[in-house]
Amino acid sequence: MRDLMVADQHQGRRSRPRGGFFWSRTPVRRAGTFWNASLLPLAAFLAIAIPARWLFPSDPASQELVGRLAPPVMFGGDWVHPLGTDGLGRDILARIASGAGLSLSVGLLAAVASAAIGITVGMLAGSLGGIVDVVATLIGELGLAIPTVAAGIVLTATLGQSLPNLLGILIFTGWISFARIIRLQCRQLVRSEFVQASYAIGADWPWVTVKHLLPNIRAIAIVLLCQQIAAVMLWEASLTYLGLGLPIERISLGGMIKDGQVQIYVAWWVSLFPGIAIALAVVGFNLAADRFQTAFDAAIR
Amino acid sequence: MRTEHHLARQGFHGSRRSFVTGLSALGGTGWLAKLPEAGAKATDQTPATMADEIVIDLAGGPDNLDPSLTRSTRDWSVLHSVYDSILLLNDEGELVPLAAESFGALDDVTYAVTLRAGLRFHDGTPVTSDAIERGIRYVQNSEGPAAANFQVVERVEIMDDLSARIVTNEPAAWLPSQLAVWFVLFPESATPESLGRHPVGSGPYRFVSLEPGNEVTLSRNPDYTWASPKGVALAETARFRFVPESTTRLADLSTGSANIIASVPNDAISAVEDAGGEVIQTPVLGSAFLRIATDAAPFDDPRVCIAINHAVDVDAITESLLGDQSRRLASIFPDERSIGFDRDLAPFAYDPERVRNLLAEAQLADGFAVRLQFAGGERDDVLQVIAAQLGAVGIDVTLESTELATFNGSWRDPESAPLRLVTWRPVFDPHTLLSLMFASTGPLSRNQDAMADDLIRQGAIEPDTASRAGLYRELGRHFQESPPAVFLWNLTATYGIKGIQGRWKPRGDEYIIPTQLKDVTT
Repeated sequence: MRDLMVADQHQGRRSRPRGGFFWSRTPVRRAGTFWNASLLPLAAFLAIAIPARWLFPSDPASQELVGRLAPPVMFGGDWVHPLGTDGLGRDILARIASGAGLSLSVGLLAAVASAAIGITVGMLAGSLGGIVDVVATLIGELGLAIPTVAAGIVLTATLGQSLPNLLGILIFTGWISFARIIRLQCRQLVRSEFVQASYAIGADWPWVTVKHLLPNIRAIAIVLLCQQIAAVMLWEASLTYLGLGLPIERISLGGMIKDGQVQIYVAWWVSLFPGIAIALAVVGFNLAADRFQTAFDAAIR
Repeated sequence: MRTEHHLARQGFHGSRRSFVTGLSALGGTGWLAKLPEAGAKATDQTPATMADEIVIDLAGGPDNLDPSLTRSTRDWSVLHSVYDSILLLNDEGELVPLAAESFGALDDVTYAVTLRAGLRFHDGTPVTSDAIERGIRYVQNSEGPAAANFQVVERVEIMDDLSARIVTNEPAAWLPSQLAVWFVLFPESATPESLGRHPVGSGPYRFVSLEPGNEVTLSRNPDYTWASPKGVALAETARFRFVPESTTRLADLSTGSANIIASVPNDAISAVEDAGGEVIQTPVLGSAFLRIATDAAPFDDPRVCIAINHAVDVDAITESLLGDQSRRLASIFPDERSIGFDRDLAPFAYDPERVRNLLAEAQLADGFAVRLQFAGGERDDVLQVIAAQLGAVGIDVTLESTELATFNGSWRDPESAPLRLVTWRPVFDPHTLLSLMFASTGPLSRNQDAMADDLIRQGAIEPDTASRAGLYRELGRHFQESPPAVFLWNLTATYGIKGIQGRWKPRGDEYIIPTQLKDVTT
């Protein structure tokens, strides 16, 4: 982390003349070996999740009790259900495709919302300091004291299971890590010479924020975002597995693992394949975060 | 006719003036026939081999041991191992004397109880007739679900150390079966606080410790050597562990760290056998149904309630998911052991075409949306099938999983889901279920049906059991014309056992009591 912060300061000085947050020439373009084998897990997951409804047109909710627990094609099943069927005779491949799409949507939505809140709070706390910093830090510390599972139990017991409630839990617990790290970054940046110089020549806080702070936290924000997407997808699966996440009529990977748990001795495929899908997503996004960080570091060096 | 035969065998229910003796129905002056006295033939009841420890994995357990507040068979498994009542529902669903040497009706509102001589509580004090009054008053003054029904007891007259009379304020033929479930004997030293933390009874096991959320440990009661119909302790120590995950319970059985596991999923039966265990599957005196809120649209129209009964293919569910001992029910009465069971009453047939016609008659040709609530931990796979089947005929179901506390706190809430999954056991005497769930004033009811109210009330105060059975059969037929529920299937219990094969058998009420019965072969 220390290396990354130093790198950001360097990068800040380099990128400063090139302008904005999204439109500057990013170091990513110069990363060289960005698209390599380490991103295969993420590519595999996205290949399942994004074109799900076109690739697998069969209804993932369609039940066929007489054909329940059919094995995968490589273990005596047929190509009608390549990955077999679950306890209610539903096609596992179609359900994984549908569940992966939902997991990805939840992960992206919750992570982006967490990032928006966390970056805003972190920048305000880190750049303004004073009472804003104290209050933001206090709220963050209080939030950290509430475990995600405990928040899930309370919200589910009081409001019931639903997608908005799950997103609420994930955002409520997810923004804090962004805020803490971005706050530290901003505290470093506001003490740097180029920011002080900007203030000295008359720049105001909004200008400094847009021109200096945002470009310099962009790299770490992207890395954090990738990690957060993986974490959120894992939490979504975990909470749904525990019965605290998505309602049972929503097809989710965590719910599929839960559904197959009682059949694990006789039909391992019901839980295994959605488990592999989650693993692909989590490993994929974490490797992507790692690649982003390496790419940024390499570009700076 | 099967019902009458069954009732005659029980003796007590055949006539208000006959008495349970555990051996036969004896009328008139013959009611004081004696069972073996306490302490007699102790060696006959002692298991040939007494294990050091027996471990039972339950699917959950009590955090509160207060007998008046418990609601589940899991709780009662522990408590009926520690406590005895005066009566017991045996494996066949018959009432037999337990701590009572005899029990019977003197008239329509008076029951005479004589306790066995020589019984002692775990604290060493003798079991005397004042414990009967103490136990009944405790339930009456509690906040538990049985409190309302026990208000029917006007007074308990203590005749001598072992004899008492229970006087009701109106005929209540259903009371003895409630005494077997909700009422227990405890010593004078017990307080509401101690009952909730450290129960002291007179049953086959003594309470040792409770780790909330984890396990209860009991030790064998060395004084419990009399010929109890409950049997005698199978081991010196019994540990009830609370293991919600079925795969963990299976792993416990496989590794030998549990002797009995409850609620084995059908799909895991072969895994139990592969692990060297034995699977015991038995029908339970209980039924599953979706309670319908008939107090609100669209279910205030009986045609909609009938339609939704025709929309669920229960046979497909039982065949695929529940095992061959489950079958579709015509009403809430699970089988012949239940008073009011009508073998001539046919269940609703699965008939999507009839559903569409009925919905069209009720101006709901386009279908409607409805919420279905269930307590987390219930089988959500069958609910998904039900939701899909209802969806196929235009009834769009949203499944709502809720915490048990939330579920139990919203029975009469008009904002709660109109449909909710209920599993109820035992239903030997249906009065409890009917009065709580289907009478319009019941604390668990959202049913508005004057005729049902009338039949339930008549059944409650009718002293003759055969007449009560007739009233309940009439109620069952009425429920087909105006269903307050989607009648699903009879409950079954599936256990995995290891290391105690041939020495333990399940009970009809689904309580797991680690005792060895006389007629279990070794």
